[in-house]
Amino acid sequence: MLLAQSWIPDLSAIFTQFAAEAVLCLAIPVIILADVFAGPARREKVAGLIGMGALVLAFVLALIQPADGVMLTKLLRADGLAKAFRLIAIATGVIAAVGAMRGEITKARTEFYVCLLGAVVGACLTAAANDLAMLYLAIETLSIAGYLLAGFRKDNAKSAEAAMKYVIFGAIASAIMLYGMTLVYGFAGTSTIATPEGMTYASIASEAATAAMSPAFLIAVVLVFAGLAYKIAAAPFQFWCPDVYEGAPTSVAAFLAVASKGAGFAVILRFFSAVTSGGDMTETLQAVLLIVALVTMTIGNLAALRQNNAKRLLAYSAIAHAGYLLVGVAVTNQAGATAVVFYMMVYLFMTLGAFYMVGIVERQTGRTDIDAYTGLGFRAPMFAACLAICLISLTGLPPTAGFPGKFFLFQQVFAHAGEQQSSLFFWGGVIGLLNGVISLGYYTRFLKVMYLCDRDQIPTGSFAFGGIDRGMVLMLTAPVLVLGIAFQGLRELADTLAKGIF
Amino acid sequence: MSIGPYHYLGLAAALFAIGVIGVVTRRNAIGVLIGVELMLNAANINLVAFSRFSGGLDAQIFAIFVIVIAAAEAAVALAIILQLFEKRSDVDVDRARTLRG
Repeated sequence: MLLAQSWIPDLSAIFTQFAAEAVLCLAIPVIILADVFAGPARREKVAGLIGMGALVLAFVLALIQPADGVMLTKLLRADGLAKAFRLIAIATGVIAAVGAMRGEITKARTEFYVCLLGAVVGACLTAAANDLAMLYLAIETLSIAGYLLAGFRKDNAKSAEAAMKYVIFGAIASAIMLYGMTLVYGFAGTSTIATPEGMTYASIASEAATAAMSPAFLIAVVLVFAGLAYKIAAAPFQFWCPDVYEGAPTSVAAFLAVASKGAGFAVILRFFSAVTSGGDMTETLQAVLLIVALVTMTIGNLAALRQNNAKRLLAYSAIAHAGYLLVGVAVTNQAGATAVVFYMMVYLFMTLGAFYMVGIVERQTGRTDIDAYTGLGFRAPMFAACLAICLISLTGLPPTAGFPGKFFLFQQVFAHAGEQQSSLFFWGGVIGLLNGVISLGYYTRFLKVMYLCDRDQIPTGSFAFGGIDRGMVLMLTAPVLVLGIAFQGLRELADTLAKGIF
Repeated sequence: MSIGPYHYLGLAAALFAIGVIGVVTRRNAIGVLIGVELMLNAANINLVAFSRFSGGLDAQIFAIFVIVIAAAEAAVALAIILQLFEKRSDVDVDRARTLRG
């Protein structure tokens, strides 16, 4: 009797705070059962209907879910950060599903939706996890579903190779991360990551703040970071990224570039806020993060310069952006976390927009090389303008949203350099800004082939850009322009959502 | 001599190192996966040892989750490797280089 009284209110409260995840989890068996009963003729349609319906419903629920940070269990935390990255993951899932249904995935839609919903649930829970065991479980849910999605074009040898590279390196990275987690657990004596305000139990954060930590603890933290670096595609674990993005279906590549990376950053923010909460290793860890960030963005930008394949180019651009975002984590303070959340929201629109348009060109021409974009500025002015806006935003130039995004990130770096008298952070900021200049080199190549080509090189034949495609592209591009000018509202939102992380 | 926590940590570290060596030297995808399993089990030994010497049970529950995840991961990885094998009748990690640049 006592047990029933103490458990039932808890469970109902969990369902209000994690309603979006609950809907997605329930939708998975429903899709599988519906597939059995729908019969071969209506199977694909029913799967699409339920899958898309569940994703949209989950998005609405995630919007209205409370983000008060009240803990119902030690395992999960329903705070602003969880809400922000949950919304990012579900929105990415919706757009990836639309992109895939436009022609990339024609067969086995039931399986596609099951994997996609599983990956979205994994990403949501990863962002909310407050316990190492929960975190490992959530990351693996995201990863295993991601491996399957990457290899979804079964008739394509490239897709199989991409999935193989993703799963082999992913398994290695997650094994390293798990070993690090067990050591962190051993040092801290608890697997809970942080103690929220008003709670008293021990956590890694409270242990790291009070006890002097040995260098071995630093090694354990670095091992955990290795696994997370794989998820966000940061150096030296970035090499899988271009291969997987090129071989995977374009919509899946977009999902991996945004949802998977976003979940990784939510964990990195949480984990590093815990291990840098006042201990004597804070400065060392900040330096490690900054150096990884700089190496990542430099590798990404330099390698992108010599790419001719649009998907590989966007993959290297995604690597570079992991570097920019890590800079915001490296300062390990509240303002840095705000800048990361802000940039991640902007990154959602511009990256998904760019991937969606690459997907459209791939469907129409069957090509992903940059020459397929020749003359699009004249053949499809609207399309080219939207692509140009997304690419200018990825470069970080005004008047697009990429500019305030990058500005806030690097503002924190220079502020930190000033406060701590740290020449490392000052020069880090300078290298970061130089990287922006390098990235101009490859994004403008798209603009060049689209607008500055010889008139006689322009392929004849029409370029279809209408209906759902046009609506999706405009929906993704318009915020990039609007947020570039009116970013104050989003900044305040990011500030509220990132509250209480550091 | 009584067996203390450091003996278990040493065993786990050795097993982890063997796993890493396997992962680095094996060129066959299945061999790499076996190395990964050794690394995961090194983590499991750590967890169970911490549980044994600290008295809590949560690390043992963590270890059970790890076993389940390892099985799921191996199933998916083997399916993907099989799919690649059908395409090119070869599961050498080094020779999978259609995607590069």
